[in-house]
Amino acid sequence: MKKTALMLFLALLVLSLCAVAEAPPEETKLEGPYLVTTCGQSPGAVMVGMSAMQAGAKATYNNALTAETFEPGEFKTLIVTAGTSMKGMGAAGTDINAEIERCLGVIKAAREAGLKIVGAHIEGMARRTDSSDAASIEAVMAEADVILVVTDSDSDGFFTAYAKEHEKPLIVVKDALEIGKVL
Amino acid sequence: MIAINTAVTVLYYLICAFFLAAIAYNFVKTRKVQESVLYGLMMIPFILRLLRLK
Amino acid sequence: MKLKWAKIAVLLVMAACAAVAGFLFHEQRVYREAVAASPHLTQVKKLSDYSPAIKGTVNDCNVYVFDSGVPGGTALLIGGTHAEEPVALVSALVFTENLKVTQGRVFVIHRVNTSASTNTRLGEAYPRFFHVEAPWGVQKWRMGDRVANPLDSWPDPEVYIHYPSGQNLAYMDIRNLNRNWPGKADGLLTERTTFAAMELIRQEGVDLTIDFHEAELEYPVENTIVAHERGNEVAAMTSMMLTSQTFRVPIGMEFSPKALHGLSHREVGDHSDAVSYLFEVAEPMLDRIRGITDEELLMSGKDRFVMKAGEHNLLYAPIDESGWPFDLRIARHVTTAQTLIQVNNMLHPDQAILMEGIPSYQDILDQGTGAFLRDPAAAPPEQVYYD
Repeated sequence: MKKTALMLFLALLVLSLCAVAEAPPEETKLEGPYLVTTCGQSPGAVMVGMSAMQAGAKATYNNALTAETFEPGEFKTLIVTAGTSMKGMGAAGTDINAEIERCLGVIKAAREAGLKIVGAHIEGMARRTDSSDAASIEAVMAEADVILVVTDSDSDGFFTAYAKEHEKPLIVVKDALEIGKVL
Repeated sequence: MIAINTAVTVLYYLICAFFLAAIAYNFVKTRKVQESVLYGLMMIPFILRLLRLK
Repeated sequence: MKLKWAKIAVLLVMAACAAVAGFLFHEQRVYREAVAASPHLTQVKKLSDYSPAIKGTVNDCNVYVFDSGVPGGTALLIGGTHAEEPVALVSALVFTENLKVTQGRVFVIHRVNTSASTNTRLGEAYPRFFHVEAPWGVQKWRMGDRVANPLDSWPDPEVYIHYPSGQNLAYMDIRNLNRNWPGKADGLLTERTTFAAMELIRQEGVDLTIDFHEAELEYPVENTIVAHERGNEVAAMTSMMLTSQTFRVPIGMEFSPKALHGLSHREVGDHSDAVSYLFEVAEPMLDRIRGITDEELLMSGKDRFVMKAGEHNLLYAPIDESGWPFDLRIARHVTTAQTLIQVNNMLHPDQAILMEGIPSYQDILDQGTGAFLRDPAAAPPEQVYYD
């Protein structure tokens, strides 16, 4: 009987240790509701919104958000997805420099309002092909409190190295569909 | 638009026919074998156009 | 006398050359593609049933109708916009030959620009036909050009001015079906064709359209879904699901630019209630830097020159020794269409379309496209149609 109780205790101990090990560190804990925008008019923000919806998290995406139209409301976190779309920027009638300026303004306003800033790259290597992508990533990640990427985006270890070099917490999820799990 | 295109197309085929006739005339008149080969080759695309094959 | 015989010899050789060339051109122009439709096909209409604008023209194509009789949504699948992208044609055909709709309606067009399939691209040495092996034999289709045959639409204007936007486009784009939406009833052939297709969409109350395409790996809009803004959420979800669960190479999503006119993903959504989507998949044969342009390249999708470009990071899609084979490209398009319709069912239950009989991604990869094509010779004559 004593032996069974001991085994049960040990099993519970192991399980609780696992739970502790799996819990994300405080600095990478994300809290909703989330406000999402894109730096480069790629569909990343829509994807975060859809993934959050599927996971039951509250997220609002707005690809035209500016510092002037930003209202903190009940939002706790601002997610800015990096990576550009020529078609998307064409659709919005904008360019990468204007996009960076817009997003930096929104980030500044959000930080002043006390929101946590997440720099995200969730569309894989397809959004890491040219200088516009690089400019978007550099601008967003430099301002981020936390970096959120999918495995494909970090397939060459770029974001791991970047996070280490700049001492920023990094969250890596398998793919865009899994983002909802960390929101 | 359709009427203009039809008129241009008819004119185009008339021009093709004219050039084919001109080349054929030169083919008949030439005294050089090499030139006759050249005229022969030149006639092919005009024939294909007039027959609406290409 | 000697000259006379030489000229007769020249004429004979010239006539033989013209006859061979003429036969080859004519053969491609008149070849009829057999379709052994699914037994669940409800009706075959002509595009001119929706508008007399194209009556009597080569582009008066078949419209295959699958009507479940159960209220639901309506989808239109469009193949053959660019006839040098044959996976678009065969993907649509896989639906026509296998589909059973149990709720809603599905319309399928294989050759929306039939004229473009009757000649090949000038100076590119494309094969005239391509073939797929099936368990019962070999199926053969025309391999065409990106734009309509000049024999059907000529001359081109100096500058093509798109209607109704007034946007200036390259002269030959007047024959490019995906620069002519939403069309014009009294325009040139391709403008009239898209006008008739728009009439179909409007008169049948189509909820979503899917336009199948292929693209060179040098082109940035690759392996993706381009969506009208009303379809952003459906396309994003479809892209995420397929990337996460099915495809080895991710499928992305792009917004349809509002300022770029004439394309289906923009104009269909703007000029009807339908939400328009366009799918792209990688086809190395379309790359400018390819090697020998033959049917082998078309079907295998393997090219060492394109691979070399990939090694130098000059491409927007990955490529390795396995290439981008025909079956993989078909599997991606067919699966993307099915998944998008399923996601649309979830987000818009009032537009639900339930389909059966369509092979899965893995089925197509394992058994090949040919396994899902029916033998026109063995099918009941009332189920056989010609495009």
